[in-house]
Amino acid sequence: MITNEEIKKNLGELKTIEPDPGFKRTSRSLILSYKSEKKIFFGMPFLKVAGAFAVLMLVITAVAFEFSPTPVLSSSFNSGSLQKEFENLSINTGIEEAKYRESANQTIVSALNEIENTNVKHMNNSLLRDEADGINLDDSTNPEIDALLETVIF
Amino acid sequence: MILAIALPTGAALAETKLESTLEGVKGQVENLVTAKDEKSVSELALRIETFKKIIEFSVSETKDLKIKLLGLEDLNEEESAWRKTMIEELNNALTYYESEKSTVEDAAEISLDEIKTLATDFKNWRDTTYLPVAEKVNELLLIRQEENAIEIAERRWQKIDEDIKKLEKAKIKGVGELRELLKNADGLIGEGRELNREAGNAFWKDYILVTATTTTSAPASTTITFLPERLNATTTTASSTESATSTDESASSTLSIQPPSIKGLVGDSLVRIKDAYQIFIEMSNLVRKLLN
Repeated sequence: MITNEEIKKNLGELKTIEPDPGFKRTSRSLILSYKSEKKIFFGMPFLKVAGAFAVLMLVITAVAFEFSPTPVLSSSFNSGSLQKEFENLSINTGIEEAKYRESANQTIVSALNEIENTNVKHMNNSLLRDEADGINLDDSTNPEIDALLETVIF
Repeated sequence: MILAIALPTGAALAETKLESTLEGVKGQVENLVTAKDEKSVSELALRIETFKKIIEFSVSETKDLKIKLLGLEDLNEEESAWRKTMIEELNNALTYYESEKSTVEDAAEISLDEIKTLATDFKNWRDTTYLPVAEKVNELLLIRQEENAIEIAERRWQKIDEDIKKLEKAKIKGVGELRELLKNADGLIGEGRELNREAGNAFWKDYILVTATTTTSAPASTTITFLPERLNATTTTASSTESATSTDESASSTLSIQPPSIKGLVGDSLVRIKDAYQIFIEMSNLVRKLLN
């Protein structure tokens, strides 16, 4: 049986025990070289799943867009817009104005004739034309302009 | 359903002043005719008033033209010189109108013969002096407006081309027909551009070079050097163009081929653009069918 005295003696001896200096160096360097693999976000399992899902959705969307049977088109295939675009071309206004100028010139010539003329009555060109307009007759004054206008009207 | 392209009914004839003064002339003529019918004593006074209204309209008409001419942008050196000459002509016209107005307003009394002579002289002056200037200015305006129309049509073509590429990538059935139609539209726009270029060429040769030679007294043989590259391109297509190109060659020969007028060329060009838009509309209807 071990007595108290013996236990005290053994403990006194054990107090002086030290590891081998080589083992001590190796172990220390191993411990210090260890890096934590813990990540801030994706370390958490549920975020890993969410991230994977998002990537998957992105891929699906990209593939769907790339191989979609009905691609997204511009407004160029809107017949109403196309018609309006043509009608709004300034050249159409230019042609209208050309016709107006021809008509105005005829009116001026007719008015000057009326001032000059003392013989002919009821034969004023401008008045007759205005009356003709009133009964929907063609007010053609310049065949060239009229031909141009006809070409732009279906 | 294919939509028909038509001219805008409410075309932007914003010259309210011009229209109202023209209405004034018409109203005055009506009064004058009635007075003549009734052998009214106011007949002479009405002739004078009608003449005043004509001057009023002429002033509005000339100012309107001057504003349009001044509004033209991107003119080169020769074109700017030409514009300056035209502005001077229009200013001369305005001075002439002022002078005529003073004659009828300041005279204590104007006889029937005098007002008749004033009207005759005014008509002759208008025919020989004002109308040729107005014609030139208006032709340039039409060429510029058509140029703008062609550019818009070309931009539309490009956008449609991009859409067709998307449809081709998506392997939509029937896209080949769209591609064919787009090619036709391209041809029409090209012809339209060529015709308007012809109009520009004719304008340059008929008016700008004439102005340049008049103002600089350069020999006729050297004037062709003024022709800018953009207007000097070889012409192709359209029948009216063919006769235009032959005009230069036959200028000194006895052949009398009537060259197409500038307005005619611009009109032909516009027809091509209209046809191109008609194809675009046809394509839009086809796309709707293909995607349904």
